[in-house]
Amino acid sequence: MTVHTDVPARERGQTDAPAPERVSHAGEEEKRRKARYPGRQTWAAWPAYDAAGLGFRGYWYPVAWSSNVAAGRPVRITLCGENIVLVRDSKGLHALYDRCPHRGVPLSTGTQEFDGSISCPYHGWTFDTSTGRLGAVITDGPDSPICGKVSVATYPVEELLNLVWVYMGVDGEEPTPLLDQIPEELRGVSFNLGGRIKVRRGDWRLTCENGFDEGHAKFLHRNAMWRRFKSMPVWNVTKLEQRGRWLFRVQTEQHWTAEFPGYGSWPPERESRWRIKPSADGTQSISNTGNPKAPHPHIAAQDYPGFVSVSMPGVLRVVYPDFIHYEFYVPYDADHHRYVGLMVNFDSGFRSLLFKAKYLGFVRWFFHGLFAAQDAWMVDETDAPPERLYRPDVSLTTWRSMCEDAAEERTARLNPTA
Amino acid sequence: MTRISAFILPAVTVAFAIATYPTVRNFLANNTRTQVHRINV
Repeated sequence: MTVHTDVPARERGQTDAPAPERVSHAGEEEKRRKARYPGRQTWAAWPAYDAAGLGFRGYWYPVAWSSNVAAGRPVRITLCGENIVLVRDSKGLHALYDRCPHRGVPLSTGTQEFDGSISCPYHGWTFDTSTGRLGAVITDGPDSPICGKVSVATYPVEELLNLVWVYMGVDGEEPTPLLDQIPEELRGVSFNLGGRIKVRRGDWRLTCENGFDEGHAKFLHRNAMWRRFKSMPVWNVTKLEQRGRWLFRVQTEQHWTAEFPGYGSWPPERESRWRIKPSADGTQSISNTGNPKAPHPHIAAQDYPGFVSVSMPGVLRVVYPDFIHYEFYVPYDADHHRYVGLMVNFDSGFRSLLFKAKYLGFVRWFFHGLFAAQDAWMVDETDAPPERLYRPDVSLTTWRSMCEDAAEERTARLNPTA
Repeated sequence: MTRISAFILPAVTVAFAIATYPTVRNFLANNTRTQVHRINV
């Protein structure tokens, strides 16, 4: 699928403008999709996306660092609007619905009185951590008749990349392999990983759209310390290209200065004085700073068409010459999301130590901290829909359409007879 | 002054690093927000 931002002038900024032509569909489905593209004021053109305020089901989500879930210390998380308790015991890691059915007390406030179980702190209702079944009620004696008649929901949970992942499906649904959801370039290779997890205000969709937003970084982040000494284009000509499950922003033109009629040129001298000048050959496929640095061989081997890409269920991938940055926008509740920012570097040996030192001493503060905080600020301030989109927002509309496709495919898979 | 800069300050720095290493490592390993890891296949 290829979509260009150069939509006809008559369509720009019009509330009744149709979405850009998409070429991946044909037939009745395409006609139906076009029919629901009458305007962009609301998200009605993307009904599944519009309804996904609590996230899409059928995916694994990273929720915590593995080391933060210790045996004997249950951890409460919120995912897709559901409260979940993570419990570690001799049988492994478990995830259960965090509510005792007796009186609604969170099990995460309880204790692990017996191995393989968690007990509610109120009356000692004790649940098997593997099955969620009520195995004992300490305050009702060993022959409590309610045992075995009550249970709490359990969730598939796995650990990978030193992270805890929880699968959010529907009742009885078999989870997909977690490895299928890990970015392809991370499978079967060793790497260094630095990351930051934080619950932030804002709908996960808004923060995902912010991440994949073509226009924002060049202006919003221009004075972030992470970008203070690097040039960024004033504007780009961008097309969208889908490869497998990833949707890429492909920059076909980068304009480092621009003359705005009636206003003058931008950026002003004070904006660019301290910045490293972009390379003379213009367009770069890796990074957005004109950095001519040759990419790491493993990164170069991926042959990414663009440096920013996004995939379901809200994973951003930003490729730089010597590392790849990922952002997992994990639905928390309707008003919050869990930001999981990971930076991956493929060096080994002594350079691994340099990467870790760089991450802890600089990246963590200036990229995953201050730079990402600018995004969090904008997400918190965003009040859309309603909205009035502009040319670069084809990145958003194409992403929403991709979500729509994935939701339809999942619906068809779960309901083959419908 | 020369003696301080040449011997005492480095010695104090190294001693401080050694003394705080377990705490710093434990802090980094269990930090709920920020962690670094080596992922080996």
